[in-house]
Amino acid sequence: MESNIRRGLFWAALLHGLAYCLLLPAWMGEDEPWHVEYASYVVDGHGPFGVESVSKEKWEADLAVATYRQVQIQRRFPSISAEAIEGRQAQIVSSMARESFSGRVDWAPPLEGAVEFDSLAPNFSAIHQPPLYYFLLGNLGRGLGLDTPREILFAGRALSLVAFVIVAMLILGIGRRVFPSDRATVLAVLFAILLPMHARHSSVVNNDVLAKVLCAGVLFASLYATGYSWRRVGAVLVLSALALAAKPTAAAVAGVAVLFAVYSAWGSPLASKQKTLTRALRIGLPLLVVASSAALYLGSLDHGPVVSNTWHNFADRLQGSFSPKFLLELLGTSVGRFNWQSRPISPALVGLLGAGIGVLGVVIGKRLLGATSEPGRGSRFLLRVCLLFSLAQLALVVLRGVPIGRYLAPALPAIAILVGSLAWGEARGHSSSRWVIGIFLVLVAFSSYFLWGGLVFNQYVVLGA
Amino acid sequence: MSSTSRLPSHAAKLGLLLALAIGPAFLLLRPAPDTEIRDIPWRAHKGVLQADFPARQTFHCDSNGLRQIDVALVALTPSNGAELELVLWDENTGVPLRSVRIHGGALGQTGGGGAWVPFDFEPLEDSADRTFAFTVAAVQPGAAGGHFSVFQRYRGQLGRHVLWGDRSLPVVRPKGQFQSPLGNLSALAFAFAELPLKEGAKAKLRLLEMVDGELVDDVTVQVESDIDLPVFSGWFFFEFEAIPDSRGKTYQIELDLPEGSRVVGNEHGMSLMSFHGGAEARGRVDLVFRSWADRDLLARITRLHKRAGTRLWLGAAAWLTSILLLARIVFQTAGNKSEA
Repeated sequence: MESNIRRGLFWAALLHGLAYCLLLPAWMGEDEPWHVEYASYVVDGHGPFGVESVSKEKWEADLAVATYRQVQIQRRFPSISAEAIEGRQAQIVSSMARESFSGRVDWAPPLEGAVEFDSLAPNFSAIHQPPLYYFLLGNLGRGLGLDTPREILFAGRALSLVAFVIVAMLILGIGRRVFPSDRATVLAVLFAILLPMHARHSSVVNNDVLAKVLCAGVLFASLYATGYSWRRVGAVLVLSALALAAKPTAAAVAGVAVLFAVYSAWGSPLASKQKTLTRALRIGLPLLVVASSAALYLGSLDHGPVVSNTWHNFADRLQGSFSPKFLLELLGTSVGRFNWQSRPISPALVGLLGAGIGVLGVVIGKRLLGATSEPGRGSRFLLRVCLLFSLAQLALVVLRGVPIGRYLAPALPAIAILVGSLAWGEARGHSSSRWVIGIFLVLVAFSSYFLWGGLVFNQYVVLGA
Repeated sequence: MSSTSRLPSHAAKLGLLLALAIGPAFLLLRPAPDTEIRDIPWRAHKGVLQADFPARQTFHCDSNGLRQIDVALVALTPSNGAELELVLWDENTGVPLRSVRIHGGALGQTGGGGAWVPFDFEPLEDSADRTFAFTVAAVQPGAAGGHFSVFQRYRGQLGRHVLWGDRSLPVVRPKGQFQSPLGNLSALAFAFAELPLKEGAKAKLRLLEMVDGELVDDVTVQVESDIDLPVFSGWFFFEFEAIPDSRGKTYQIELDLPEGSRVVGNEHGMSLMSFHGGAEARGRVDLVFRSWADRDLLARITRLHKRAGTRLWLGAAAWLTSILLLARIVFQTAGNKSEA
């Protein structure tokens, strides 16, 4: 690929993300107040890693004298006083009121004079989230000497913009490894740049953003080079662990690490020259690490993203997840929602996009699973890893029972690579050129509608008094 | 750039232009309310509208061509073809400008949780930057006209909400207890089967703090509210100076009402809503409504610029540049014959 194309994609990603940063008003990313609150305590000098384990009796005794939210925060940051928590929340809510938050979010009450988050959503907090993202953002804020929640918000958004560009560049790297064709790589990258709900993440303070970067990193480390080395296995495992330390929804990435170990130790052309015992060790050790870490990790979570406490709860989740209502909500929140998801895009457009996604899914699946000599064996395996990763991520969301599209975000790099495969394989030459231009024009049209007819319209034109 | 690249076809260029234009077209042409007082869900209806006591609301209009006002209405009893009238006034001069009557089918959907009812009228060409008022009232006097209620929205945060109960309490000095879930308690609304309008009579509220079930000596709040409209099956608001440290505190409520008042409640006490918010939230009970004006591109662009400022134009420039960069790359790689 020519360097001017690579540079062009870099600048396009940066400018596209910047447009969202400029156009999305403060506090208009879902859950930003809670994420900023969490990071702000780290900016103040508190460490986010020591969650205090408490007995049921102490938990109940604490709740008798403090709010649920306060107790949660003081478990993670034991040295913070109730007054400091209330003071910080009053600062954030006051900033939200100045930014016309309730004029934009339909279900939100007028926030003038509010002094606590419970005025907006009782007993809600981000403090149960894994600490990595807040550690990074908090220390960035500390390093920059940030003071107010609003400053931390914009530092977080800058971090998200950087993450957005890194994801695009990692997809470029993966594409160059998987596809010998520039068209397919360009298609994968432009999909990742133009997909509106992903592009909007470039301007939102949220730990999904970091999980996405780390998942892209795992995919990149897994796919970029051939052959087995303990260093690469280590890199993949460390990145997977970091992804899980950013957000539990990144759990599917552990599967990529396992597939990588299996393929590079057993399936790749180089692996066949190794002794069976060596190959078994090379698979077995990473598997052991992943399995034991996953067990430890899931056991340490307040509430698991996938595993319910009881079989009854699990069965309930599953029953709900296969309902048309759940699937439509998941589709709706994946393709476009505005103003804290209080305003959807038109159902007709959601239906049309759903049908388009279905058709693309069938075409991609047929290509990857069908009997074909192209793409080559290695690339086909790598594309199947992407397909499995995407399906595993979808399965996690279904098992979790919460129909929110951004929980699919960790698989975005894999999905982008799959979309890129439309311009390669059997559809070569003139037909692949039509795929690229056709998908590009559809994405531009959707991006244009989403940003101007949706986001800007809902943020600045429809503003309640 | 590859020497084998070729320029995109006219069809592709035209497609790109159309794709780019879709969003701005929606942004500028999609209908949107000029003013909107929103409350989700609708909770506090004002009580049956009567011919002699119209509900009133003022508002500012940004655009020319004011042509419609939607009011959140609910039918509290079967309407039997009753009519409602909306009158639009110039707030500054007090001159009535438009009058619209609605009856029959348009009001038929307002049972249950209520519905938006549109009152549309001949557009006011010069409505931009003017303050108006509208009133809504029943057309038929007495019981024949009284079926519908408008909804109100208090500009604060809802705390406690004891739903509309199943009984009325025929006492003029009802008492109850209430624990405030949030700080800055600034208003309480009570449900009334009837709160009559009587010469010189006021509705009075006293709040006394309780500690361990005992009343403290000082009265926390004592407020007397004028009754501007008689209330039949509606919520009535008492506003007072916000109590900053109200979170978690228990208060005894004492109401002193005009003869004939009947408060609504359940077996545990009075139906009520608590609202929270600082001093600036006082005097903010509005009707739930939205107004519409004719499509006015200049007003739309002005509103966008006023609300988004320079960010709007910088964002547009960044977005457009990124798309054009991508288009260049796409057309370059798509036209590269070495790929085929």
